[in-house]
Amino acid sequence: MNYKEITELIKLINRTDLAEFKMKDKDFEIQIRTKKYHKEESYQAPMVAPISAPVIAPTPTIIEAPKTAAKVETSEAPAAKSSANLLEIKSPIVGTFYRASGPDKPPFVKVGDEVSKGSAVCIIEAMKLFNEIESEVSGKIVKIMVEDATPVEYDQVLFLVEP
Amino acid sequence: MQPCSKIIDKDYIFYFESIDSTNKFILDYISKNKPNHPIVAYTDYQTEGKGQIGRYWESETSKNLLMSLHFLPEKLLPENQFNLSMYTALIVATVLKSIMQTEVKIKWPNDIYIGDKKIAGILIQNVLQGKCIKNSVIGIGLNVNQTTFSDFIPNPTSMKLITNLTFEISKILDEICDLFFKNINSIYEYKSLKYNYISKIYSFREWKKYQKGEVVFEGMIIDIEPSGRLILELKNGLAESYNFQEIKLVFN
Repeated sequence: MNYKEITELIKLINRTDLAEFKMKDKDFEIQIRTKKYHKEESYQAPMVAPISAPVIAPTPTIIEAPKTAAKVETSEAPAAKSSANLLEIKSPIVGTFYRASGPDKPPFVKVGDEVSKGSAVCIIEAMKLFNEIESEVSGKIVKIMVEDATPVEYDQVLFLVEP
Repeated sequence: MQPCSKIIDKDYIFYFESIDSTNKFILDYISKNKPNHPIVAYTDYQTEGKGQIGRYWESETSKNLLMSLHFLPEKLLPENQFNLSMYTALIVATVLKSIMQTEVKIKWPNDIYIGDKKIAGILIQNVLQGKCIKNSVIGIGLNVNQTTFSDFIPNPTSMKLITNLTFEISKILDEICDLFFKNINSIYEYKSLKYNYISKIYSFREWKKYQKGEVVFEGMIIDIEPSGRLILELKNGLAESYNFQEIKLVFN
């Protein structure tokens, strides 16, 4: 496999649900592990749960131990990790994150705002479909994890909420 | 008879002479009233007709169809929401084809085209809580009897411009509403939706110029991913997939 083919392969795998990909062809061997691989690994470790657990886990999950969180979310700010018992509002889809419903509109929420179950917190646009995301938890917004008008991944943490 | 009343309880059909936006009306209505049944709203004039974020939909008073349909997709997962886009585009294309007896195409992701011109636009706004689409509001703007458009609107057309005939807007509203709700379970049928969608895609399997940033290149639509990403074949033989707004078709 040449460099270009490997790049194509990585791109293709990123668009799937695969956690791990291995391939062997004569003396050539490649192994690719995705974010999902590391997520499943670290989710399963502390829990005696079936493999399907991460899939059916509800969107807001309590950050358990700082150690686990560090492994899952490497991009997360260190300050946020240390605060235990915060609730997360995650992205249910891949798309673009917007804090307001239009360029001239105020943001749905700011740091310090109280949200309750059903409060609109942001919009995620995916392929010209606009999704108003409602909070499933109640509490105070303590951190906004994503910049306005930037891409978000499936299950990426958008907001941290203090219950 | 009031349009849509065959399908929707008349208490949930809302008509306005003028309103900011029918999508916005329904979104506000459902957040206050949390209805568990579908709603239809239509108007003769919108003061803040919505396109994509920050864009507007322009229409002369009483000349065009401006409507929003609301329903509760219940079992549709957020990651399958492109089905809603394909479904709505297919419904509008089917109704237009039956009225106008002409070929109607869907320009990816969901603009409705006749020839090389845009005749209708669709704007979908969902309300999501966790992994559930609680509400879906589907706005449709169809150019019916309007014959002149502002210069800044790219390549518009209307039913009247194409046929020289004047159409009864409420009848078209009724037909779209009827077909939309009668076939609503098709939103769960990805394979048949995609098959029908692909068959109506504008410029499908035709080499066209596309623009990504400053770069213009040739590409040919060969497929659509389940998420709605467009797959183009390139002149170097490779296939590449693109997000909405990442590339645009260049009109000659």
